[in-house]
Amino acid sequence: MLIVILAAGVAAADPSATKAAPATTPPAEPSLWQVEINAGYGVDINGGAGAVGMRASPLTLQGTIAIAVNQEPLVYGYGGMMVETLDRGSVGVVAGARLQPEGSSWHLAGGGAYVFDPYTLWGAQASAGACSRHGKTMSLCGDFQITAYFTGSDLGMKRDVTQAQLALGVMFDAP
Amino acid sequence: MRREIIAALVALVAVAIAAIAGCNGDVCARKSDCAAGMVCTEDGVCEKSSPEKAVDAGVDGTAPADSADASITDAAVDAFVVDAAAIVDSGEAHD
Repeated sequence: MLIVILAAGVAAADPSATKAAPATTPPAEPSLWQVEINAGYGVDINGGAGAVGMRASPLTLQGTIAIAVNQEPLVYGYGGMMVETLDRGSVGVVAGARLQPEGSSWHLAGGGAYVFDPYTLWGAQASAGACSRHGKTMSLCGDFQITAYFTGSDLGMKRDVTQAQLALGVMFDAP
Repeated sequence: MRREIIAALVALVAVAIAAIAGCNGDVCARKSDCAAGMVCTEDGVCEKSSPEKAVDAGVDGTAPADSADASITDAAVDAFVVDAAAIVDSGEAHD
């Protein structure tokens, strides 16, 4: 009887269970590429030669594609389109790199922004945020994003503007 | 971890709302901050652009096609007035 029970137990056992089980769940394999759509809104901090002041920023919509360019640390290169709307309309492009520490939901990004229609603006962009995974490939992301525009036909003489925005978006990973 | 993320996002939203509420919308840096026909000056103020000011002043802001001829005519009139004054002066001197 004891032999039968032991034999049944051995037969039912998962062969993989004989291997040393890891102490924690291994981190998910980093995806090769990601697609993100987000909307950012916040304040414009206007400065330069004259008065300094704040005003509500335009609503900025961004759609980007990111491709993994380095595994350790995990770095994505991204690029895409941006649109300013709400109290004005413009179209531009963004590009940069995003550092995403492995096993962490936080990320840091830095890059540039170029608005080309109907006026021009050149700027540098930096953001920090986190994503919360919902489902196998979808994540909801929140970022604090700073964009400093320092030249372009839309800037007034000797003026500059820094946008501080909260961006909320959806990110899809490669399956 | 998820709670921390939500808390951070809520805090950021609160900061953004507070910042927007405290905005001074009169200060500009971008030309697109200003209404049509206005420009953002070095002082960060939206002002009417030069052609708009000229229209307000009753001038169309553009030089007439024959402005060169007009200036020549003005110069000729000035010279005539000076000559006439000189003749009158010399006539008075004869008297």
